[in-house]
Amino acid sequence: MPKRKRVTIKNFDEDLYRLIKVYASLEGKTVAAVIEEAVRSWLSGKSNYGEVLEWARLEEEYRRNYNVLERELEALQSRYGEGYVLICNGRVIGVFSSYLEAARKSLEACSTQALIVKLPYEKRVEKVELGLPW
Amino acid sequence: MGAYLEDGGLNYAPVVEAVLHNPLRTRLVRLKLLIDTGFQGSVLIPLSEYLKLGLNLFEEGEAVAVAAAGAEVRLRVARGILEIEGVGMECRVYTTLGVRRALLGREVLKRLGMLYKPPDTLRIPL
Repeated sequence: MPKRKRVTIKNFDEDLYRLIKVYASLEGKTVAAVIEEAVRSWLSGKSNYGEVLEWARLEEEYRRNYNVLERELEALQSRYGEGYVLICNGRVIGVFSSYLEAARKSLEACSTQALIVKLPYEKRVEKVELGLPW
Repeated sequence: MGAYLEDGGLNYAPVVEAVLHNPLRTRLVRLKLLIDTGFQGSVLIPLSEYLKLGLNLFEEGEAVAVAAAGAEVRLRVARGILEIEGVGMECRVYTTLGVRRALLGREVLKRLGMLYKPPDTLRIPL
């Protein structure tokens, strides 16, 4: 069951909205269900629909875990100095002496996304030259 | 496995066959990597291959790709092990939305000694 969210749409075509209401009522559906069905049908024509959904899921979890890293970094660095921090499910799982230990633990304890960073960690964005659009 | 030029109709795309493993070597994918001297990093793969390797469980910090036209796109990055002709090397594996072909970039070319070396003289008669 997907999470539900209240959405307000401004400047929606009034006649179209009336039609949706009538058809929804005739078919015993809610307006939201009809609009979701229409949007799903529109999205199915997009070739990378599944990929975008997967990306969004990973990205949401990555942001959650990265925020934990930002919040806990100072404390982790002063407490451990060196090591590999494993973060997943919105919490610090542990600090390990080797990368492989952290990776093994990730396989065991994490599911959607996990972050393994080396301490001391310098917050910076790695920029990679890509050349032409791929 | 091997390195060769593929498809004369496409002006002979330079390809390297390789096996990519996750850092624990618990999963692998076989890839035909297109040599891309415009790509500064090591390996860029489609998201589907990235997920097959489970690299989402071994991700590292923030990374962005800068395209030739100047646009920046968010990259996911994790460690992997690239095996070419039976020899494995640790490398950084990148992915982003919309990647259709796996690319082998300058970071690996440098380590393998496969850098582009132009001839002293051009063959084109002037």
